[in-house]
Amino acid sequence: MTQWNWFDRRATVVRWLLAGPVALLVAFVVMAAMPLWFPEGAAGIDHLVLPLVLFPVIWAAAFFYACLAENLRRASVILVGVLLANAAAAGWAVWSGA
Amino acid sequence: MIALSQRRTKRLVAIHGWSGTVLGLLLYVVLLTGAVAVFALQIGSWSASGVKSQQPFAQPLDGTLRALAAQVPAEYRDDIGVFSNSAGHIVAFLHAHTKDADGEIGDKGVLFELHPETHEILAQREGFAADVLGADPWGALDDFLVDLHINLHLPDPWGLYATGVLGLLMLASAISGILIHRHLIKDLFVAPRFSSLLLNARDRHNLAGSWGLPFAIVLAFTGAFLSFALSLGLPTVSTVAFGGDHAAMIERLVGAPEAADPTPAPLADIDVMLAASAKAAGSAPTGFSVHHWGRADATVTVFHEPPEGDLTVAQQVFDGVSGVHLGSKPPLGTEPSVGSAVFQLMIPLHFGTFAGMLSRTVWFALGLAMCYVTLTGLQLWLQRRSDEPLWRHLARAVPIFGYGLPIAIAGSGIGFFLSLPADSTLFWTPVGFLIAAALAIAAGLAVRQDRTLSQLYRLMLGVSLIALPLLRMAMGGAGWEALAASDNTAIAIFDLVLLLAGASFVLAAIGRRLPGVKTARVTERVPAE
Repeated sequence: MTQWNWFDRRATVVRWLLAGPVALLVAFVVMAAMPLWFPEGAAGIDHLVLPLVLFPVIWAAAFFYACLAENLRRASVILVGVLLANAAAAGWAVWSGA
Repeated sequence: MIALSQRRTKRLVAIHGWSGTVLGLLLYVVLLTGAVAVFALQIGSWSASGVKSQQPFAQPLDGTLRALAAQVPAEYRDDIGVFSNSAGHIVAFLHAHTKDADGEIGDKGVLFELHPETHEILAQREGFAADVLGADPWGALDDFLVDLHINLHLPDPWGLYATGVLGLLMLASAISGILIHRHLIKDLFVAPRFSSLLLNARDRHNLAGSWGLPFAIVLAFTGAFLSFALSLGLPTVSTVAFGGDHAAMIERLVGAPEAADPTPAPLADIDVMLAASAKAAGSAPTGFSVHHWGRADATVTVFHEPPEGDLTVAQQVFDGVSGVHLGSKPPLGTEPSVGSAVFQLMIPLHFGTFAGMLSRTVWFALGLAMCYVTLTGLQLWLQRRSDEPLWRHLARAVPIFGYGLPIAIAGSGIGFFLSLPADSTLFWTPVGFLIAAALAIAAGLAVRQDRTLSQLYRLMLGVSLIALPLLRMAMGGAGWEALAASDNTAIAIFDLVLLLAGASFVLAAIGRRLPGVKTARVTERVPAE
């Protein structure tokens, strides 16, 4: 109940954070991690090119989801979860030398 | 109409307004220069008063290139790029891949500019690609305008980041525009009401915006991609997928080269390969590159425009020693793929280059419509807040930007032509832009009455546009008769369009209309809501 109140009290700030820096970071880390799981395609380049093409689409999806979500707590969990999962995958790939 | 709750609609209206307001004036700069950049190639040819030859590689080139290759140090024969510039001159850049002062790998070599028919050397420059390619005095005007659109002349990568963020903002504005539109289909055919200034402005904004929405989404999406792909995407993806080895990433993207074989071997006849390539591609070559000239592993890659009815290009690859046609290759990867096809769609969709002059003209018109939507949206937003001093100051900046930018663009052209005889176009093109911009800003600050300022701006813009074709011819450029004789009629049409546009602005400034042009008057002024 306390957590719900915390979100309710800071709804505007949370929404600004989610639609601003978090949406941009989500687009960035999803693009960074996509080469690890996206199919390479016939020429072996789809997993390198399509993340770049999809970057604006991922941003738009994250941005409008953050703007329109009625349940801010769920939106925060989903967006931050996507952010952390992809950041961890990309970070692991860089650390282990891919 | 998409059903949304009142709270969501309110939020979307705020997004639509703020995304257009926060960086609205910068967005206008990118949109207007983008609309102009659609004709970058044509502006380049026009500023050079037409190309010397419609097919720069029509004359045999093999002997000339061999003579040039013999003049340069052996390392510069590692890679040779051959293409044509704005004036239709052949440009051959013989270069090696070497580290610059900052330790970054770059292309360093000698650039030769040749007459397309006689192959006389017109200019010769040595250095890194960024310096020697950027020093082409004929390309000063179109390069300046394209760079203003792509990176606002900010240093790399900040300029690309800035235009990328503007692309994302435009995407937000366009998508929210679709979501909040209650009567999208109806608004496509709305007749602007003349009962009040505010209603008239709002109807016109909705009309132009409704027609431009799909275009705005395409433009914003492709623009954000083009800005972020090189500046942010490629380095990020190469760090994750190749441990930061950019060379390995590029090798994968363009296709791995044949196994290195530095054994000396003569290059096959270039003219024979160009002719075979033209036959295979069904169009004349637009350029070609020779990799490892004089070695057993030499390859020649010939570039062409996409065939009629196709959006994707294929390069023709030849064995450099035997001259055997190895086949066609997409620009990315070694065989056709979804990634390569999607990548190739981005530039034609962004610049409207997929159907010749028709698609360019449509893109130009829609680009201007988006400029109108941006400025009128900004004005409507500011009109509602005209009681607050901060917004009043911003409202003053709208006409200064709105008219000042096209005046400054025309100023860059005037600077280009005036400095052409002194061969100092690279300096005077941006200076011409700045001088004209300063004059427009000074006028905006000095003249307080909106109507008088508007008339002054129209006069300045009209006179600048009329001056451009006159200066082009006065500074030694070909006249209309000579242009028609050399198959450069498009340049004369460009002159005519500028003269007509200039005349209509001058007539608008002095309160007259071109014959046959009718306008309706808004009869009643009502206060902003």
